[in-house]
Amino acid sequence: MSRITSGARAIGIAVCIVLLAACATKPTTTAREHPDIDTALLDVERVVVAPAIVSIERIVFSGENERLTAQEARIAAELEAATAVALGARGYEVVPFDFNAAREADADLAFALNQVTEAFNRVKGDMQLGRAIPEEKKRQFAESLGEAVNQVADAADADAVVIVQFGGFDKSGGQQAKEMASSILLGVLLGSTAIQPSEGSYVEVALVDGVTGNLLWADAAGAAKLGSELVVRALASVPADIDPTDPASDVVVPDDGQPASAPETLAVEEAPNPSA
Amino acid sequence: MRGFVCALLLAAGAAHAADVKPFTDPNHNFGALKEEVRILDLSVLAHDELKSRGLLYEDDVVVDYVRALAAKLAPTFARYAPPLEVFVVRDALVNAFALPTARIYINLGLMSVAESEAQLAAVIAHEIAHVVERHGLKTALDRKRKIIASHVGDLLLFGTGLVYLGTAASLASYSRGEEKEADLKGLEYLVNAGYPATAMPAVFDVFESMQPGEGARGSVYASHPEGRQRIAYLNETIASRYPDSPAELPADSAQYGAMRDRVLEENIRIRLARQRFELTDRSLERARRYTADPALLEYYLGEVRRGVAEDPAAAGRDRAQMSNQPKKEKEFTAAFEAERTKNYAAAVSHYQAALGLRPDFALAHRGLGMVAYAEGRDADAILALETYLASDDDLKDRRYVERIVKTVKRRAANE
Repeated sequence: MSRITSGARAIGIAVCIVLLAACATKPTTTAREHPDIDTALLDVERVVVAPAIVSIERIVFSGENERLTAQEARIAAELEAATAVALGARGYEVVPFDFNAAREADADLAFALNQVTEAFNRVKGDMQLGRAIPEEKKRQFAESLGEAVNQVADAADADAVVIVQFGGFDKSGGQQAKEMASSILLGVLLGSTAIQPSEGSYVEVALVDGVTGNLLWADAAGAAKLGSELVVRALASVPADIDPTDPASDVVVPDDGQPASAPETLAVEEAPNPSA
Repeated sequence: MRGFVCALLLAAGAAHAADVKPFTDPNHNFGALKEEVRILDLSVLAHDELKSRGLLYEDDVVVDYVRALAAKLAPTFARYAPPLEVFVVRDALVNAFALPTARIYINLGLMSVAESEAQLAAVIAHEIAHVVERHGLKTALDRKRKIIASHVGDLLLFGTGLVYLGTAASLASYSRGEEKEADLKGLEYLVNAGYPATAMPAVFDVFESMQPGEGARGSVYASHPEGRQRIAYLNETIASRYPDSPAELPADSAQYGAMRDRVLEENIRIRLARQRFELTDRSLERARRYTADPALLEYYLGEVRRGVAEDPAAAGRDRAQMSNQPKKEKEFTAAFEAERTKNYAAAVSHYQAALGLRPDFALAHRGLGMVAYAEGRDADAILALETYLASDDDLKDRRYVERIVKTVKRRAANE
């Protein structure tokens, strides 16, 4: 029995070494780009950040999980502000626009926003957003979110729309105690144990051409922590704006210690599983 | 002794579903239980989410009609009960649900498959019965005792664009007994309002004949194994309780006809936007039975074929979902790619048919222009798209079409 276990362990370690070696030689990224992004960015100057879609739950022992609406509202505001700052630093003009007031007054605009979100959710599956891929393959994703984007961009008089989606959870004391007890029990029975994270979050960001609806860029990040700062990591790979009057753009990308793409970004598979 | 036990139970806050009185009972005690307050808060949250996503349909012709129909069907609520409210959801899925706030939500998708006013009334009557009998609260109380996990759906559904279904499903999922009670009470409301009782089994028969993907999974309005049993017990009940109820459906009102045309068109547009091409074809088949505007139908038939040609991957995914053959998605996509030219040609012939019926139909010019653009016929594209742009100063997609024209002109100049 122990021979089998140690054999399996050796194989596992070997696989890990091979994978790590592959990672070391081939830079990977979680970013996705449209093949025509460079041309499209020539027409993008003004961008608008669509209302962040945020879903946060407290997982409780009884199973009657609680939606943390106040935290959702706070994190949504933080995400939108951080996204605007990051895009501004990349050379885009971020258009301030009160979507809440606008969609209250115009149900069609609210519906268009929803259609954009739905389309993004459809294509992100096709793109396997969040999964690390070789850097050289990132510019192979010719996806479009359709004409609804146009309506949203038009309302804000912007050339592009930025989508931000965030999902997060934390666990109640009772739930954590239950998981701790399960871990201890498993530890006694199996000789090893895994502690489940007590909170976690996951964010996806996308830059969409406001006229054609083409998804120009997207990235995702996850962490075993509940907080809006994660969006900065996801935005690390957003391309700098290209000035049409100066093809060899002088836009200064701030040295924030992040590479153009973020190979260290936590991939979807590594993001904590809230239902675990 | 009995009083002592009751007092003890009350003191412990142990409310039971059996103690919950309907809204027609003066002793309904709406809002008295902590659990009810909790689910009312969640219901408000679900409603706000629907609203903020633009999913509450605001066309007065449709909404006023449905509200009037509900008012005709509903029994008199006792004093201090919440008022019954009805909303139409801008969603093509065949679904309807009631929340504990006494609010009923009917999807456009469901309204589009009902074949008559009486059938739509049957669905609304069923949902009114859930409200009156307070099934949302009863389920919540039962759930509390059984410690059933709920709301997990919210997270699972996160990212599907249908987050509201998670909350709504947890608040509007009932036991088999409650569903049966809603059917029987609904039947009573239907007959009292002067509609034939047979409309209820008839509409459930329609749901049973739907294609996979048309109904919301898990909804009582989706086809499922118990559907036939349900139709059977409804027919038995009608034979025993309502033998005099007319078998013939009354003629639909003019308001119903006007409302249905709008519902059918909106449903087609939603399905097209979601690239559900086969379901759109199904909606068009339905619309063909009723519509007085064949040019519009031809235009939408053209849009479906153009959509399939433009995005074979989406068409392949759609076909894989509809045929429940997910492993064949790539094969279907390849087949649609091979048929691209054929589909564009089919789209052109539908747009031309629309123009034959209505020469000033601007959208058909747009369709012709978009096909020409995709096929690289630059002069045709510019002519058709500029005709479209000249048709109206307030086109919602003006910027989009102008960009296409600009691109085509740039391309033509380079060649």
